[in-house]
Amino acid sequence: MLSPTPAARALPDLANAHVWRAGELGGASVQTIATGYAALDAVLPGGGWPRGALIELLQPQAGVHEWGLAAPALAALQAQARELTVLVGAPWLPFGPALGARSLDMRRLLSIEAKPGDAPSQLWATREALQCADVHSVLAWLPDARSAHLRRLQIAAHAHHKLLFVFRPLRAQQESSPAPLRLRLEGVADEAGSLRVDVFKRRGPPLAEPLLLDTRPARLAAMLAASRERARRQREEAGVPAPLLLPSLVSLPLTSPQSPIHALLDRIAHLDHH
Amino acid sequence: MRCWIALHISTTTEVAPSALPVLDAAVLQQAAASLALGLTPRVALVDEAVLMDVTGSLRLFGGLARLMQLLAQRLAAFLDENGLRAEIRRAQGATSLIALGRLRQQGEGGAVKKRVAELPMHTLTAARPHLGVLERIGCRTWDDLLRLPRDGVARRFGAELLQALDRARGSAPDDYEWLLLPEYFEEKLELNALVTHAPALMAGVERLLVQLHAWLLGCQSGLSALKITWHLDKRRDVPPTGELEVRTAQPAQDLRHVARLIAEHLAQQKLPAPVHSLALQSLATEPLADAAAATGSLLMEARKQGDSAVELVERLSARLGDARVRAWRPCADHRPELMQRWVPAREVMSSISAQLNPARPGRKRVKATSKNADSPPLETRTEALYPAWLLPEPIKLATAGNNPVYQGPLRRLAGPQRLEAAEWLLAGSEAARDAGLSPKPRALRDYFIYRTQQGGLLWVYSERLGATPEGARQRAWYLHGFFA
Repeated sequence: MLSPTPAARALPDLANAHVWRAGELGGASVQTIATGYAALDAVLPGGGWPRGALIELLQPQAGVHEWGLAAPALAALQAQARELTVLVGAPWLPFGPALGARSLDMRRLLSIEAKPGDAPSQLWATREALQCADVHSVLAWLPDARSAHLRRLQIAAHAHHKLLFVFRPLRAQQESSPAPLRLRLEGVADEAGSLRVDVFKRRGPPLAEPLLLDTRPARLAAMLAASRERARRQREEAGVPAPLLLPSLVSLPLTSPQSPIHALLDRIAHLDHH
Repeated sequence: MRCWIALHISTTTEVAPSALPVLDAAVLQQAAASLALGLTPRVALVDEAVLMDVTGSLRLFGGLARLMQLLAQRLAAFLDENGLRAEIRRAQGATSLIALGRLRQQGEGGAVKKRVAELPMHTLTAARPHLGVLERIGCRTWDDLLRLPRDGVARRFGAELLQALDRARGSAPDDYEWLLLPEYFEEKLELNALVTHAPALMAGVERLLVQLHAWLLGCQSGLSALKITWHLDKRRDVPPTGELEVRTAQPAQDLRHVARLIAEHLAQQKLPAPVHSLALQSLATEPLADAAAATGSLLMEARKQGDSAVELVERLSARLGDARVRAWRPCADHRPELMQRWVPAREVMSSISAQLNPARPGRKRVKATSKNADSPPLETRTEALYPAWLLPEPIKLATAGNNPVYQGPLRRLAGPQRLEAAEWLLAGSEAARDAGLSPKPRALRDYFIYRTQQGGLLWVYSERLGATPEGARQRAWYLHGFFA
């Protein structure tokens, strides 16, 4: 029986550890792995990607935002255990040197492709990978998967305690899905970040507004910032009027020499010289 | 004092689920004998039983009780792994015939007599033709017969009975033709009905695999390659046989993984005519260093949940094809498309398993830390400027004016980054071409980073056609990768 006395309210939730109130972020009992982005960790139940659950990522186009979002967690998992990461139905070939720079060990990566349009084989391969003892994470691109298929993957991921990302097109947002965590990814042409993430299904209240993450490697971001800066200076010297610049560019902290991008650029230049 | 064990194995009378394979008694007996060979080399098949002389093995296995326990464990594990149900009876005695006599008496449900002399007459095989006469002259136990005068017995019943009695008493050598396992396993099976559908052959294959499993346990070795041959109906105008070879990277004693591989391969086979018989042959086996540890350890079983990476790769390759399950290999080149190769994972399985289970973790860790100290931090390396996805073949982009177009107009963010692989770099390529490596094409490219309207970053290059102005005017643009 619930009692409204203050004493009962003050009691810690020892007995009710498995009770999740709809107004709070759930998942205290879920084992998670940090995403590598503090802003994203803060809005995910349990403070990271859940292990043993299907994570559904919807994006307008396959092969645009995957690695920036998933690579930090995968690298952390690879550092923990000598196990494999399996890609099923990747849209293109992963480029080893670039992923190596994101601290992924490419030698512990398997890529599995089915014939184009052979959805049953892709699902089968995903499940087989989930059942393997030497695999800790699976990334699957399943544009044609239905809710019943995803349910089986969710059960397999839960039973074998694997990190499972499933990438699907945006149209899947209207379909029902057994995934406890669903995110929508959109690229933005904004200098403050490259990826807008909307967590539209989670164990907790709806997200107030989408997050903006900068998922690019630091050196790439620095180079882009540097060429932007160069273009701006050239325009200034040529006497092009200032309004041509995007407002977002002006608001960047680039112009101050103390900004972290400047520090990073200096460091890179220093390394290249030696 | 010698020590013998008699073993009898029979399918249970209780109703078994129809999914389990049913084996005839001879096959089961042979399987039990193969398993027994793991404990002693002196094993013989006599009538319905398996006789083992374990005198020489007692010390190795720590006494008779321990050995009996081990035998029961192995038999139970074997039956369990193959989904069989069988009843096992075993008896022990100082000679083979005593052990056999006790076993037979046990099978009748009677209380086992402690004294050898009280064993009933019919438990002796040599006495069976004369049971009627022996009964009428009052010989019911071995003791009764031993009390009769020897010469009279020899005249009345023949020399065999006396010889058998001498063997039973241990006064004559207790010797058999010992069972030897063939060097290669080869077994044929006539199917009960004609099979027209290749996956339906699996039922027959499973029965053969049970025998193969027993043979492997007896040889204390693991299987790394086998061949299945099926014989087609001769009345059709097709080749008389078809065959399938299955290989595994790690020698296996537990054949469940092999069975799944065979099922995958059979699913892709088409039978041109009905099949009436099957044959299974072992092509390559490897002795397992510690066969007992590989099969009997309970800790190993508990640790392993699910398949190993090797099994995963083999199963996926069997269904999807080798070229569709790939692993990454680096290459020393500075052209992006030649920096890496995606090779079939089955070919590099050994190095993948070495990655997963490092032989000397201590040394490796030291090496890794020293390497980290030398190289610059990851986020500042030049590799960070490469795209995460690389197109296998660059896509030629449409152009608007002198600018590339991809899903709408593009905006140039950075570049050019110049890449040249010209004369002096190509000098070494003759040798590479001879060695069967990829030929190195000339590459004169300027790489740019463009942003699409959707916010994605593209890695686009233009071929530098020449230094001439008209070459610069008609630039060709190619999409080579995505930053993700």
